Amino acid sequence: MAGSPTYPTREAVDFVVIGSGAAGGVMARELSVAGFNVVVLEQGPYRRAHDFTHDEIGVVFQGELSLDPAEHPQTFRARPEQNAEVPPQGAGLPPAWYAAGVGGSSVHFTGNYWRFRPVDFKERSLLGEIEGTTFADWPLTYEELEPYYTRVDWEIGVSGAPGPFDPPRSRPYPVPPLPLKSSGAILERGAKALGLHPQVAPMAILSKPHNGRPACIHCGFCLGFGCEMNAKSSTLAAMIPQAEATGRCEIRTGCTVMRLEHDERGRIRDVVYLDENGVEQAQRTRAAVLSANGAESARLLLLSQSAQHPDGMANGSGMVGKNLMFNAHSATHAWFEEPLNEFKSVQCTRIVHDFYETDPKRGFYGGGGIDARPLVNSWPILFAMGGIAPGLPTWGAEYKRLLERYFTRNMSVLGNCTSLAMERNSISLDPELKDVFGRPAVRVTYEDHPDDLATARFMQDQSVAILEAAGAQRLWRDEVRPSTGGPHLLGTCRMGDDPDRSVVDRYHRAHEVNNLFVVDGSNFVTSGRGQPTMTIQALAFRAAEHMTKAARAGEI
Amino acid sequence: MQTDQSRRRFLHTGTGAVSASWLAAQWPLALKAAEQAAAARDSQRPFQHLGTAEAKDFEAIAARIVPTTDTPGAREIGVIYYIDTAIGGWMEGVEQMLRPALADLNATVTERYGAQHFHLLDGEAQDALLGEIEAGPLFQTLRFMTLCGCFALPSYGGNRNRLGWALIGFDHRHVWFPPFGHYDAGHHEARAAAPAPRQHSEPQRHGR
Ligand SMILES: Cc1cc2nc3c(=O)[nH]c(=O)nc-3n(C[C@H](O)[C@H](O)[C@H](O)COP(=O)(O)OP(=O)(O)OC[C@H]3O[C@@H](n4cnc5c(N)ncnc54)[C@H](O)[C@@H]3O)c2cc1C
Ligand code: SF4
Repeated sequence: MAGSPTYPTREAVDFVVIGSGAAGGVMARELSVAGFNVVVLEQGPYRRAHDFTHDEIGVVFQGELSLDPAEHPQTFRARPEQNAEVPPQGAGLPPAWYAAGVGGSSVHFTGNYWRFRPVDFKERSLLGEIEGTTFADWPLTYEELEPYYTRVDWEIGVSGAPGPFDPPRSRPYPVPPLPLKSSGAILERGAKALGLHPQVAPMAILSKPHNGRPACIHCGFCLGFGCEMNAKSSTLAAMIPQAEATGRCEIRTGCTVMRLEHDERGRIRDVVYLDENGVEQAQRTRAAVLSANGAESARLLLLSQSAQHPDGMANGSGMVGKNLMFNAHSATHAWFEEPLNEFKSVQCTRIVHDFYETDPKRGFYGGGGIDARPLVNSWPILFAMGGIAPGLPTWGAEYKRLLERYFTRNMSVLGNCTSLAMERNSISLDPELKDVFGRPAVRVTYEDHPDDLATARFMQDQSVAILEAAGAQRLWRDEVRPSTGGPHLLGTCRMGDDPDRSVVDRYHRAHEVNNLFVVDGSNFVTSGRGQPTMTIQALAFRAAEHMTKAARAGEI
Repeated sequence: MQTDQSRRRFLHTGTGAVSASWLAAQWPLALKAAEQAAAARDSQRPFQHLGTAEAKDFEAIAARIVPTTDTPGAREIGVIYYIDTAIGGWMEGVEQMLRPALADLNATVTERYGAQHFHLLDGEAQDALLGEIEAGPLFQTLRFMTLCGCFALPSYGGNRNRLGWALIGFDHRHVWFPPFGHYDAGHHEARAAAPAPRQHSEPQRHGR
């Protein structure tokens, strides 16, 4: 393996990639493999597989894989006319939830990996305008993206088997499905009894060794935790080692990018960051790739104001930060007679995609996918904290009996749904609150469209029917309420052909800055049905291919 | 200005009863305290951070939350050692809320029952009192600490001999093999007997 280079900051490299997450990891690997010199700036640390633990207190309660909310507070409000506030302590996760470190949120994610369907890219044409929204078609089709989905399957590493509603695929999955869990078997039983079509959950987790990485050993500390085996197909496991092996990619961690600076011709020249000692540095570069996620990429552009870009870099359209989509969702919980032992293995093994498409008969826009899983109840402390059905004792002998019986006998069914893009839902700079580095805090403004909530309630009704048909002893719903945050950060630098209505073009190049590319969840035009990352990465592979061509042709 | 990436902090409890100073807890400190607590527990030495009387009261409360029945409860699981550890470690600062709240509770104990301490009451009286403060920060924080003491990694001081995990049927192994549970059991046998599926070895065209 080639050694990791150390590039001087005052000499221009070919590309600086900002953020090393689901998208940034792909960009780093693709661009360095193509022969370019690449510096990756990542604000979080470089954790290796052996640094990950099964420590529920550290990972879940202290959130050690994310930024410290005391140093990096975020504010939230539902509507633009309201004052945004820091959610009260103890209220839960930050409004824009992501992991910081090499691999970004692909390190601690579930790895539920669905492709979009052809319809996702052209729903606006098929369904028409939806008032009060910026509902639009994508500037590309499923057919154009298919080869890159296949690259995600094979190069990132996705296990699975085709399902009845899947879009066409040019190549089979590289590895077979992960072994069925009891939650999956129950979902399958209930769905079949209703005449639905349960199918294998495609997962970004290896069921068999592939690309020099080992198979999952079913440890169970998967959602929210990093994989000690490198079996979960994070970019930390699947992409970054290959980027470093080129000898052309330097990963600089503990480096928080503060702003992008351009020269008199309007081209990005320097990426300004605080290094791990808090000292300001500027990396000179020929081009910049912003892959800091749907919250931080938008924030960085908004922070990069100049005389040429008074409202933030590449924001002549005013669309930077707008159109935030979280993916509405529902959660339904159930207890069964016999042990399921959901604390073992990965989160999901079966899904139901019968309700994927919008059905005008329902009276609202939207659709989604259903999956079965333990959710957070595979973690013993959190199960004990909140896993007991409502209305039952939360302490004492009866409570203890319920813990003894139902830790092993519970599961959840999630409805993963659409969100409509609206300008009023956004990431913006908080006018008052600052983070530890003095930057305006991330301010999240979000209120689901009524159709999003209707979709989530509809999906919950289907979940209830499935669980009843499967013979649940007891089941209950988490009430579907307006979102106050989420881990899917989509839409805030949308792609499109019209520079007045979008931030980047169909190849992720900023309309207004020739050598700036934004490649991450922010580019989404519509939200898909809840599992965005497979598409984020397919787009990243495609973007890197076009950037490589353009760079070689001297067009960057 | 450097972010301390190794710093651990309290992110979310669902109790709403968390003191801000917990955020200051440093991981090395917590680890050290955990080691000390484990050593103290093993050698039956007194607590590192708790006084004897308050330890008895906190333990009595924990023992009403997860009581000893025909299976071990908070007492046998060693929750009090977790509490002792956490107060000196990652939940540092919480004692500033717990101690005065316990004093208030004991004032009620004295007023109503003439006893000095909560732990001297019988179970029925204890439950009655706890029922009254169920929604408050003392009870909610001790409930959280009791559950951590039962189900966190034993290195945090509690979950003695992994008794907490045994209670709920959790087993901390790194490697599992299917079948995982009752409902998937038949499936794996059926698959093992069936010929290998062809599904994922051929291109598929299932579009619609
Ligand atoms: C718990 C959880 C479970 C999830 N499960 C699934 C799932 O099952 N399926 C699915 O499809 N999606 C899932 N997701 C969502 C998925 O993780 C994200 O969609 C995906 O990681 C987004 O990719 P990204 O490249 O846009 O950003 P990220 O992966 O968030 O990467 C951004 C990176 O940029 C870094 N960064 C940000 N700002 C700066 C800065 N100023 N300077 C330097 N570095 C910076 C961050 O530290 C981070 O490492 C889950 C998310 C979470 C939190
Ligand atoms: S369940 Fe499998 S993929 Fe998930 S963390 Fe454990 S070994 Fe890794």
